[in-house]
Amino acid sequence: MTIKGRAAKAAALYFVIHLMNEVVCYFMLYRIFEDPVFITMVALLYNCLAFVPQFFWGALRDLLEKFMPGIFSVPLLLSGFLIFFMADAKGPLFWTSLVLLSTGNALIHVAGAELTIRTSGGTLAPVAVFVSGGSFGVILGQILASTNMSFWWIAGLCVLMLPLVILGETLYKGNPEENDNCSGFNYVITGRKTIVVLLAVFFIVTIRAMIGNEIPLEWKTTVTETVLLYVFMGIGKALGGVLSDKIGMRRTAFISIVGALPFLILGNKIMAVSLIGIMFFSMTTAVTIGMALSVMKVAPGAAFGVTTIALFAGATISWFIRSGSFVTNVLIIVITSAICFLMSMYIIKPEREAA
Amino acid sequence: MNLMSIIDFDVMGGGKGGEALLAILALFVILIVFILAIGIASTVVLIILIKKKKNRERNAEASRQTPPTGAV
Repeated sequence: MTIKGRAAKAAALYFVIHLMNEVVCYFMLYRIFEDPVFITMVALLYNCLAFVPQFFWGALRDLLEKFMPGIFSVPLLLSGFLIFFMADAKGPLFWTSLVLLSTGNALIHVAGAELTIRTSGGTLAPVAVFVSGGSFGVILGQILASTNMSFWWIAGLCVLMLPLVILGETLYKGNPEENDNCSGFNYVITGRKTIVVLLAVFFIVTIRAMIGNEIPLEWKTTVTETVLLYVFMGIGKALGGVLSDKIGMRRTAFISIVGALPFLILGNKIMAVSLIGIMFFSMTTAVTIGMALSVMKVAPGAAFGVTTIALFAGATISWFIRSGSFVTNVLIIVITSAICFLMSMYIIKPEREAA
Repeated sequence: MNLMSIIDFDVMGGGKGGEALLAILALFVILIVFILAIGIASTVVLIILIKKKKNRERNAEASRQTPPTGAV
């Protein structure tokens, strides 16, 4: 199998698995009907357990080659899902189902990141395509939860993930050692300290998660418009990886941070303009993953985990910030984008673009 | 859901006094301890991983410098 063929298969496979995983999770989360305080606690716990431990699970997978997080994830997801729906879970049983679901979610992310990174040969498109699957799954799960669909269909979908995950594990066979060692990820200027790069990645992703909630979206009122929002987010995430490989990471960072600004600001009431901005803005995902991987080749799973902890941090901080003012939101977006842009230009290597 | 709107919800009598806010804050504290534990555990795993890699590189270097037995 060629390197490109293996990478394409891994990306396509985990795009689908990631999508299915989010459908399962969001179907369950959107069937929880409680008061806002309870829902906030659920969201907080779910986000924390799904995002933060990816750093640990990733590091563990990097250390123990025989540890297959994907294989563990499906039984966890399924048991959490079934406990919730079959036992009409309340109290401790409900929280147990939530812990199982979010842990399964974390493990499937680690499995996808490891496979798409370790088989990519230093390109970013495979991991970006894998990540993009989540956006489609999140909105599909939400929509399906709002219908009368039986939870058994979704449980069946969850079971179907297992053969796909096993198929993914077979792609490691015959994978060249230099691929597995991630030696192709060299996107950072030589001499930049690992800790500085990781802190910058953490900052950029946190800001991205925060301003994702601050983007003015007055146009988003119907289900169709919400679907379009998630679809463009997904396209943007995948496009970030493809463009980084084609035109270079610095140019992609420029388009995604600076290029997105006018569209995000001017698109407050115009859907088409806003969607372009959101697509560009979502492209930073691949850029930050590439930056983290370049300084943590020894532990790609943990590198991916750095970005997911930052996502949790950003989402949580945004709960404390309440700004209904359009001007304040625009100012926050512009100032934080400028800082992120300067950081990325300080870190990302320009040489690769010329190649 | 914005945390501030929960507090408003609580103040307006939608919640159960300060209980709701207290529950969320308690959860926050538990999660912070959890995050710290994850950070420490991950750091330990990464240290072992880096040591393992350095040992492997050292062994590979040593075997490159030692001529194979039987070689003239």
